[in-house]
Amino acid sequence: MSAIVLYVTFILLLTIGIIALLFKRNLIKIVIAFNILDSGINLFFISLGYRENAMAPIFTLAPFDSVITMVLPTPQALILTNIVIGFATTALMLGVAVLTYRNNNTLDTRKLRGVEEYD
Amino acid sequence: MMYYFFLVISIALVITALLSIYFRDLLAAIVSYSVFSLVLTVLYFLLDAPDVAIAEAGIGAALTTCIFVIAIRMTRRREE
Amino acid sequence: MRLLSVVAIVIIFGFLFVGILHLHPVGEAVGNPDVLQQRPEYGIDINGVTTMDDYFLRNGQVETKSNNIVASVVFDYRGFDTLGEATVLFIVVSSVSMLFFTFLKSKSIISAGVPPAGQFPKIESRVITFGAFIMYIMILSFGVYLVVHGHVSPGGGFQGGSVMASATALLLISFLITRHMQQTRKIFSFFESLGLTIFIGFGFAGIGISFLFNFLAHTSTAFGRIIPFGPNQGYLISAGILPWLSLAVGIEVFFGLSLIIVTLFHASGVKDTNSLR
Repeated sequence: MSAIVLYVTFILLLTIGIIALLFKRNLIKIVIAFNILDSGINLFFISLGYRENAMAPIFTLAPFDSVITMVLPTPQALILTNIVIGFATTALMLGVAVLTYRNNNTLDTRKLRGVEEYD
Repeated sequence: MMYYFFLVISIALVITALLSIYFRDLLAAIVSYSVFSLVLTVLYFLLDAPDVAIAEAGIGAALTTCIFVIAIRMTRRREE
Repeated sequence: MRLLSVVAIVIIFGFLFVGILHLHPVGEAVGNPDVLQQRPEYGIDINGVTTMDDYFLRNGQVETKSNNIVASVVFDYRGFDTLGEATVLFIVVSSVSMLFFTFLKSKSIISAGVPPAGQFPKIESRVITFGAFIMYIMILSFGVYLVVHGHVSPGGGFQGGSVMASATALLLISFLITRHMQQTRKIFSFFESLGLTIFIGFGFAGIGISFLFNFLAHTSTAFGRIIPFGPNQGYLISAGILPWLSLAVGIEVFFGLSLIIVTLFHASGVKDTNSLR
């Protein structure tokens, strides 16, 4: 029985992120939804490279076996980069959201659209 | 045995993600997102990825929360 | 709108669920067996290596002379991606500084037309200041430990740098630097550029063969110590160029992420509240 619950968690996080991105009106909520999407993608990538009954790809003080199985190291290297870039994207989006609030005094996307019936 | 860990932690992940977009008080949403990041760190550790776990703990749980709190300090705290 | 959101949830979830049924089961990460069937000339070579990651796991310790395979993938086998990532971080830090340029140039934040959002408590408690100072030193030393031991145990430049940057938040809430924001930003900006320059400098040092070539791992110095395949107790002086690259990235990430937080904090108008006392 494989741990398909990891893949199902991934698609649940993706669904939550996309629905919040489409249907929420506050800009800060939209940024939180971006972060949830990002974390879901990272989780998916790490779970793609997982092997059962294996250990982390580090040889220091590893248990001595005749055959050492390890998880794949390349997805971890790529996801390290992605986590830092995700934080950088969040910082930039929050900067733009704060500037939007300073200029328009609102964070509601419906009011920012300029449609007159929503003030 | 490991599958039950994955199941419990995945349920905790989905619940905190749902809570973080449900709350109207943005400070509660940010705290819920920080708990989401913490549970994700534990999941990374169970998936035999200690490097990624340290990075996610340092960046997701600490720095992202700090930046969000500064941002809602400059704007409104409650939604709408 | 509710009906539309429910329909959208069902559609997205359905598509993705049908998609994940075709993936390999969790826990059996091998290469793509269809490729091995269609191209028998890839096959299995003399060492039994089938995929790129198997090659990294078998030969990474012998080629790069480091115990941490993830660090050797990040800094040696795919070092160019790390250079791109450090550049992206640099660009984002300068973009955030550019977004809040008008806030930070004026002498008084109030006079720039920006109202301070909420009042910061004017209490400067000695307990908070002293406690934050002690914790700051401890967190910094833990971060430096993670950076320096990047090639031996889990750690590296990015992890240690982000742990050190999370200590800057402690520094901000304890009012230790609120009177010296401009100088702090200048110092952090200088050291961040220094870190990226050191990284690129080490890349050009082995330019005789290629950019970012691990030239120290092929000499017979202490950094090129030959490590036999298999578990060992871990050597700090090993892994060629990797500790130096890790140090450079650690410096750049620490000062860069701290600069983002200090810029945002400065632009939220805290400096003014303390200067009114």
